[in-house]
Amino acid sequence: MQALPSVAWVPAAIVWFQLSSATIYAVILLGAVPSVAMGLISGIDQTPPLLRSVGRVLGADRWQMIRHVLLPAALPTLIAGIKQGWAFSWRSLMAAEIIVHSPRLGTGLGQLLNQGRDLQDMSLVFGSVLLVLLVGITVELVLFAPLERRVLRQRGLAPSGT
Amino acid sequence: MSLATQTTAAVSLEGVTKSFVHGGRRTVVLDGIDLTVGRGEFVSLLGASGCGKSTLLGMVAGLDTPTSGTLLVGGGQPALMFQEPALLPWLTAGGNVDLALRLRGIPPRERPEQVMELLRLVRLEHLADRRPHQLSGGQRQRVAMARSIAQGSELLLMDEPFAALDAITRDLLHAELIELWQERGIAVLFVTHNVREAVRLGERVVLLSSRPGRVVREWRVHQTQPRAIEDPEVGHLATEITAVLREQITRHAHH
Repeated sequence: MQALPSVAWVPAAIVWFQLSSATIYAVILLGAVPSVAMGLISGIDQTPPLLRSVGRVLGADRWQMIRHVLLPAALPTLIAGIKQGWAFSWRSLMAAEIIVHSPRLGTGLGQLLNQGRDLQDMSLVFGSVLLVLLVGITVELVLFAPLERRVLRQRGLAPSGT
Repeated sequence: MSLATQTTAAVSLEGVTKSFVHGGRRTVVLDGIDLTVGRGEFVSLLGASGCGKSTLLGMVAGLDTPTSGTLLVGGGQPALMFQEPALLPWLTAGGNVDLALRLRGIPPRERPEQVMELLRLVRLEHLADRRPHQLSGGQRQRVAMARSIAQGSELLLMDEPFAALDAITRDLLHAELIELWQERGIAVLFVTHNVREAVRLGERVVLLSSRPGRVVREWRVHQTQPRAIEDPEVGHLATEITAVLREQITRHAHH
């Protein structure tokens, strides 16, 4: 699923949802879901067997095992998955907005880029590119970096340079 | 194989055998183990590496099932301490103890006080908010001990819990364990490959042979607790047991 760029879903989404916001949401979602799912699954798979044994010895039932052992153990990889999902979604959103444009979709950075192209307005194009970059970097630095650092520090793991 | 919970002993094994099939070949790890740990009794289970001690504890803890024989556990799910502290790294020391109480069904109101009381037992009440990676090896194993006691079980299984610690820390933890055992009246089945440790702690020392694991002999330790690892009585008995253990290992090596 991750091998498929979610922009490839744009034509299908237009057929299903016409030119509505739902089309854009579908493309974003399809871009993020595989990464998030992979993060969760690999996090659970990598839970040390010893911690599962601890859960069993402490008398955890199936749900308690998930709630108190597997999900917390999977948290770092889950966050990494969400971060990657965000990156994919952000790319997809820009691509989708450039491909699909309609007054019904409102304005977005992708539309702004497209408008710059149509008007041959280079300053608008570069202004938009800078904004796209800025939003991407801000989300990474303000949202994900501190969250990852916190979770890893809590466990005594040194965060790698971001 | 049969399992039941009605027994007067903390745990009793009768003819317990465990074998694994690996690559089409059957390996017998434990062969006809007869062993009883009475209520409130402290038994050391001694054997060389690979004699199936951990497998035996795993079966008593319910993590594994015997191939044949009868295993009776009295008084619910036994607590189990591993060689590693096996603390959940995302929880604080107090959080780890709290989880044991929570999974036992202790209401939230009563838990904070009990957590502190349990940490006090292992002299760590001042480190309740520390995470496992901020604690020393000995402190982590103490938290694991408090977590095991928090289970409120009548039987504590210990799988070489102090093997990775330095001698001085181990000595301190021996004393704390004996104190806890006497205070709480729980039964302990303590697995080790260290003869002196077995004699220092147990009321009885049971020696297992290697591959397949069988009960070779058992000794009663007459000296009362508290005793020290350097006591001459401990030394004498340890020397005697070591001789038998060495004989076992050589015999095994010649096979």
